Amino acid sequence: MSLIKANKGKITAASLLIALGIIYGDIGTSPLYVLKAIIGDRPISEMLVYGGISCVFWTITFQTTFKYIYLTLQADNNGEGGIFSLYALVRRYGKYLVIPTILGASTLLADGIITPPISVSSAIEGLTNIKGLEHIPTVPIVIAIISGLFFFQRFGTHKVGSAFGPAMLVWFLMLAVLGLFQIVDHPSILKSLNPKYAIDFLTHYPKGFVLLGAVFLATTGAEALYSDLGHCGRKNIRITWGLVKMCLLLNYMGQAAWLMNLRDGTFITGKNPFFEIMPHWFLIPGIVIATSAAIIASQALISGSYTLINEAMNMNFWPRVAVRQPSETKGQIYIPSVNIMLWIGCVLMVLYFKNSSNMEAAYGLAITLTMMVTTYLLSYFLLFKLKWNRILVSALLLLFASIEIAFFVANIQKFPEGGYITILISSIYFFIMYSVYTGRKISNRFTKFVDLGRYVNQINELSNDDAIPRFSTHLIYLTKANNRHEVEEKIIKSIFAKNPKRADVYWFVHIHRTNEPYTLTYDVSELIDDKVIKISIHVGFRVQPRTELYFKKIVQELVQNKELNLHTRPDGSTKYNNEPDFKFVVIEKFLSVENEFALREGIILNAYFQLKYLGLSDEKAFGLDKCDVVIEHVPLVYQPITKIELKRAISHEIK
Amino acid sequence: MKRVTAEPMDEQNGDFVNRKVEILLKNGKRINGFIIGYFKKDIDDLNAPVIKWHLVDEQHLMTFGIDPFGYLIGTIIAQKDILQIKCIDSI
Repeated sequence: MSLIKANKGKITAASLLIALGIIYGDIGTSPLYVLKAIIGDRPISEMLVYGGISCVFWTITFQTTFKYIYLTLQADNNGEGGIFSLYALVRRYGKYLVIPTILGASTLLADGIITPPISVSSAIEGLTNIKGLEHIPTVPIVIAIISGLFFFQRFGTHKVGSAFGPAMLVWFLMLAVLGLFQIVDHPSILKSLNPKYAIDFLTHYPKGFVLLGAVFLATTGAEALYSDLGHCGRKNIRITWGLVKMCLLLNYMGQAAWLMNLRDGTFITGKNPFFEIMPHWFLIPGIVIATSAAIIASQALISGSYTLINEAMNMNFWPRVAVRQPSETKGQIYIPSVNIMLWIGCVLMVLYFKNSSNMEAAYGLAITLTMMVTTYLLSYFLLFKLKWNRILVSALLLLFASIEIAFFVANIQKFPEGGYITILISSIYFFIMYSVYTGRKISNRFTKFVDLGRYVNQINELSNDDAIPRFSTHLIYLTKANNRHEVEEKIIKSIFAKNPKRADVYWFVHIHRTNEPYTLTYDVSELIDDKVIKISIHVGFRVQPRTELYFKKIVQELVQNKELNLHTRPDGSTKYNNEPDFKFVVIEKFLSVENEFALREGIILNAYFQLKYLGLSDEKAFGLDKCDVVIEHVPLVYQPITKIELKRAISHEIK
Repeated sequence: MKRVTAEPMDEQNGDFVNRKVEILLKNGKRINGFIIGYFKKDIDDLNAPVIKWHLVDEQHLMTFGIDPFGYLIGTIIAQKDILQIKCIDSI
């Protein structure tokens, strides 16, 4: 989430408060629907209530505390977390990590579409507990709140972000106090922490194992918690988690205590224990606080989705789309296309499912896949980066794989009830990411490189040939070649073919994406002094490339260091405009019709080029839209048509 | 005469490009010519191996390997088919 960055190194009251506001929106609002989902339309019994709450406690302990708070938070990539950061850390250690990573990111994004509707709906449905409002239509209210939330994204959250921490603190205190009052009435609920109740529930309660799908909702926010690591730092998260976990458990047990005070065999159909434990006079403030927490949780998911797509884009998993920075706050971004996509998705979810009970049926299935992928990537991190013992890592992998496979099997029951929607959305995300990643790989395999050194004399000759009109003083090409001596053949062709491009200085700029999130460095190598220069700019995977600005800064530094002559214009126009004359050439590939494809390559490459067409143009993507850019189009001939049966017809003389 | 095994990684590309080479294929065939370009497996990876080489005759050395009508000049040889690349002479 991109709100306010806490000082990651320091632990202060303010940094802890910020962590509360940023990290725990998703997991913190789970009490709104978890117990309701576990009980459903089943009669109240000790085995159901004690067993359910015991499962919730042990799930939070194993999955959230042990796996995410203790283990996964260690996998920070220069302070950043999340599935792509983890992938960037370990990708060099495994050949087959990319597909699971795409799968995990797709399912995480898909679940992001259902989190705002379920949180806001659960909170707003509390209104039906107020006398006279029992039949209030909640759907329009939920849609209005969600639409407002998406509308205000473009302005950023810097003005209201500072209120998120205190608001969440009030929320958690409310959870604790409400729960505590109920526990005092039924203190024996504390016995449910004994794992015996969880085991009994899973093994003896009718379809108890399937109910794990509802229990799992208590930990769905753990993955988002890891994604937000970069905003608060590990220490702040670990300290605040103690308080958050206590408040959550008090509330869960309070709800369970209230249930146990009902007669055995009672049905609570239509009632939400979360609101039932509130005193009647507190309902309205309680619903306001719950709605605020749900909005903060939704905001976290929306910002998290921007961050995820931004990382996906920078790691070449997503087509280039416009990214805006709504405020000066570092890391805060707004992606208009993602905003519209999420808004439509969330509104459709509300319209389709109508209430939170129906949404519970769809929620959780996709995120189990994300968690399984995180476990898989985490095992690589522990093994290769932290050099943990192979047996220990295997044991941990086995433990979490068993837990998550059990959750997955339980959640798969949700497929026909609505889970298919998140799986369908995940599949669309997966297809986009897979097509962009694989299409780019295939396309790049047809990029021919040549030795730049072989052409430097010709370039020098062309530069000094007064017979050819000057194209620009500084001519800049963006190159994908990461070695100093090489360049794409199409660039050399662009310089010499048809109308040769004469310039005083030829620059070849390579943007190198690093595995660290915020790198921004460069190196320069001159193949001919002041004539042919290659620059590599190393940009972290969370940084938006601003090639033009970086380039001008580099030129400025080179001139200041007297390493470069700026080459004033020979026509004398410099006295009217002393700005150096830079011209960028961007070469865009398009899929030539002269191709014959196998089915798979055909689908992938067509999807890739279509997605590229829908996305941002190369010059905008590289931050060159404000300068002098020449776009050249070259065909990608992947598999040329070989069998051309073209015969010359016998000409008949016209008499 | 310099001999290099066909394990071309980044900096070694410079050993082959612009030089007259003899390529020994796994099927026993030998091809002489000049390497004017190459294709890499993964351009994002600094150490990615070359997967294909573009070989031309000496008279086509300063072409881009494509004639004015867009047809290929020379041969594209896949790395997997190569047993050894031998540099015969530098230009």
